[in-house]
Amino acid sequence: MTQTATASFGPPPVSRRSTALVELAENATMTLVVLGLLVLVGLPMAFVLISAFLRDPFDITAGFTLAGLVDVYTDREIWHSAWQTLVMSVAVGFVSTAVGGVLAWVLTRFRLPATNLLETLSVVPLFLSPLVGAIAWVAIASPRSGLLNDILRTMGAPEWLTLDVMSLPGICFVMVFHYAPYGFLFLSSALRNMDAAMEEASYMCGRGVFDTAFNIILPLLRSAALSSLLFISILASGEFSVAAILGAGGVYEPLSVHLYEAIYGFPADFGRATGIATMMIIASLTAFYFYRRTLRDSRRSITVSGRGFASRQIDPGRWRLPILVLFGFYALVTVVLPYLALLFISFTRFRTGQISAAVFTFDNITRVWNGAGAQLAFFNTLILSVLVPAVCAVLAVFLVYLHDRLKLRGTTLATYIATSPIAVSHIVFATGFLVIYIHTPLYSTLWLIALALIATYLAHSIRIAGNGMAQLDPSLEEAAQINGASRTKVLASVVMPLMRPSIFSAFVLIYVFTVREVNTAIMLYSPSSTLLSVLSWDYMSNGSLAPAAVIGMIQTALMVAGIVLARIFLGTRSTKSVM
Amino acid sequence: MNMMHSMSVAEAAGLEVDSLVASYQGNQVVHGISFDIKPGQFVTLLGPSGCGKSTTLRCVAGLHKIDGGRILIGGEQVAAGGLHVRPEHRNVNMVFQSYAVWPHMSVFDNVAYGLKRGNTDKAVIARRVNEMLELVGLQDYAKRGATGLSGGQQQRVALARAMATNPRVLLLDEPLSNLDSVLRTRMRAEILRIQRETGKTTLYVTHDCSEALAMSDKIIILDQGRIDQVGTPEELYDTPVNRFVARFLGPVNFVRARVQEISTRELAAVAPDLDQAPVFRMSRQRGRAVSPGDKIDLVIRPERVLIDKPDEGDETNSFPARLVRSDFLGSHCEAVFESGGVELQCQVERKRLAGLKNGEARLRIDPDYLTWVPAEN
Repeated sequence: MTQTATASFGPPPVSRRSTALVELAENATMTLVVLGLLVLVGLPMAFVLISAFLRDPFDITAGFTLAGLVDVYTDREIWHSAWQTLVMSVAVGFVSTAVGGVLAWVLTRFRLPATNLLETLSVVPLFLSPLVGAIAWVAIASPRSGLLNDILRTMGAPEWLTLDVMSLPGICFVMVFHYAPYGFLFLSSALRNMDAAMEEASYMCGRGVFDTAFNIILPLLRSAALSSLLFISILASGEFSVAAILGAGGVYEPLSVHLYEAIYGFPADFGRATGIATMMIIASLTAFYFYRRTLRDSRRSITVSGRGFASRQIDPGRWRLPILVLFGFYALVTVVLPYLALLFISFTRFRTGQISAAVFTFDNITRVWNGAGAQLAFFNTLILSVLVPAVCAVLAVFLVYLHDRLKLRGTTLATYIATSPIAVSHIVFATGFLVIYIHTPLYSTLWLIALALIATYLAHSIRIAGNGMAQLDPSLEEAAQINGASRTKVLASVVMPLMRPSIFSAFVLIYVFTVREVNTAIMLYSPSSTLLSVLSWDYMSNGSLAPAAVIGMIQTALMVAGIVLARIFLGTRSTKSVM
Repeated sequence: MNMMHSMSVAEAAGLEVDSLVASYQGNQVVHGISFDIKPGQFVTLLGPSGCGKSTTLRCVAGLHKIDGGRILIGGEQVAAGGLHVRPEHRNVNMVFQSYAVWPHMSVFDNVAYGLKRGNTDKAVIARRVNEMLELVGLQDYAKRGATGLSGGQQQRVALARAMATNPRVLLLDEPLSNLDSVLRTRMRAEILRIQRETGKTTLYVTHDCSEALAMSDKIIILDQGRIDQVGTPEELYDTPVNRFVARFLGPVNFVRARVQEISTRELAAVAPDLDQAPVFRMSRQRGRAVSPGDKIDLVIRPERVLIDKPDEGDETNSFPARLVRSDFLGSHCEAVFESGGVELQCQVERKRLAGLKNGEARLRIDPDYLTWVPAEN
């Protein structure tokens, strides 16, 4: 009876001991994962808060004090700034969600020509970082030297028509057009997941397109829209570069700018910086609490069907032209004008008031490229932009696999730690990083920025990988397991190949983020670890518009090249559909 | 034991499930069930959705951890107490309800997947894969990608993949539920043929009674995580232990009755609800405790009702009834008769109904095909 047939391919069954070994390996892995995440993510998060109470923010043995916090929390200027930050962030979140939502609704529900182009157009502003966008808009519409104002003046336009981007509406405008794609992404996926039958039922009841939009679609999208609003508001509250450049006249000084000034002022006041950071954390954690709640709601209320269904698209009829004009205007404002301005400034020599006398030249480019730190910054950016997304994507798939599929003990905690940075703005998280790592050999190296960015963006890649994993039928993995594959083999031979589309989109998104990122880097860079974004910030804060624009162009070129390459190497070649 | 015999026994191992307890999403769904499969047997777990049959199957596969009891494959414990042999080490294989054919691999690679272990010779693998593809009739599809296949073809790939590793037990989780009815009948015959040819010990899960009746050596009826009855298809159909089993295996009429007298072989019961309160005689059914005066339910299958004109036919096991309505279904009619306020579904020949005057009839049930279950309230 014990004799096994020669034809049997199965391995001998394992003994009790190796079951115990597997368990040991599981626990060891999870301990390592949790510890790793604690060092990478948890400590910086915690230390923003802890060091605000320290006599010396960098030395935990120095003893505790409330003096720093009292200074910050009794400062009328800070409270004014906090109020401004709150109002501006929520306004930006609100308007961006509305703009993105309208675009998403129009795109998913109307039969339009060149849908792919329009969709790409809707997210293209993501490539223009807020900093570069601000640079472009200074070039276009600063009250005295803006190109558009120049043109208006030559055409003899009256004084009141002068555009002023360096004002509260101007700042809001620049931020909205940067964040609108986030709103678009949030709402378009919710709209796509919404069973079109809900709307069709409304049409059957004799209600028109707009009635349906207001009575059916908006209520169903409520939670997705709220998520979008809160998410964008948190991001906007930490965006210091736009405010620092456009609000330089003092009209708008958000907390992020105060934070930056506390660290880079003379003398540097880290106590004040961490104090301001606590204020921002409290605000964004409150917002994040609501964000999580609406996310829970959205799971309940949005009807997601497993298979793709053809959603009904309405013939726009006489609205077709207005809709296309809307997209045209959006593209003009978010893409065409800024890039035209950047190109113009990068490639010409001109003096304000004499645009027509501009001369084409490569001088700006060569001067910047051969100037201080440009090449170093370029290669540093290159290294980070490959390293950070790659590490993030692999880590995210690994973590999601541990959490969603193996369901090991401790994975919930691990995921919670890993996604926590999404609750605070980048500049605050970077402050925590600075406080933790200032006394380690990592400080002032490129690797510190790499670690900080990985920690920051892990949350985003986990979101994408989690969505991808959710679409994979678990029985595909079980089938491999029952065919004798070990966990690592299942991961390598089934999960990774099938997750390729998700890995690709995570890689591309984080790549774009890394190339244009300035809020984290500005806190952690040193002369040897400077980046393109830091360099353009430096130029801009010295008032040199042209070199800053040149760097912005280089960043954009880098993004486009990177995405093309990623498509070639990572993209799904023969589009094998996943499920 | 001669050599030939021992070879076949070694390949097909028996399966023993002993007091299995399992939970799904925090709720206990399998409450201590026990059954066994002899080497080479085809056994079906039959029950409605949520009865715990898939969970039981996944426990055998090792995809689900058990809460109590034990599972033995080929006499070896694979799950018991703290012991949990991982699925990749159990040498069982499974056909999934969704087929789970990997979309990023060719048909060949899907089937070869479980064979690529250690340093197995490529030629050996190729031979085995082709053998399996031939077994399921897909020999010309080896190079094809898995996504372009129809449902039936994916099903065959899944079956070939599961057979390729020469598993000690083959597990099938509702494999036919995603197919249309014509294909379902064909695949049913196919799976049965392959099982008979290879003599594979097979555990099959379904909620479809015709699949279970047609394929199984033995059927296990599960209801709410407990076994109601185990037996051959004929045993279950002819002598169900309760209303649930009777109803689950096909359309049925229940008629209230009271036991009158019992002999060693026969049982007589009166059905007071029917016109003329007829007395029915049927076989005693050894091993089931019953005494005079007990309340029982007669189990009357629609196809076992014989229709006579009111004034003709045998008096035994018969009673007067009136035709209420009938639906013509081609091969037969589905008629509803009424007797003393009780409605009875009957399967009859069309011509038989045409002969009735004003729908007046006498219904009769052959004692050999009449059975009973204990009354339930």
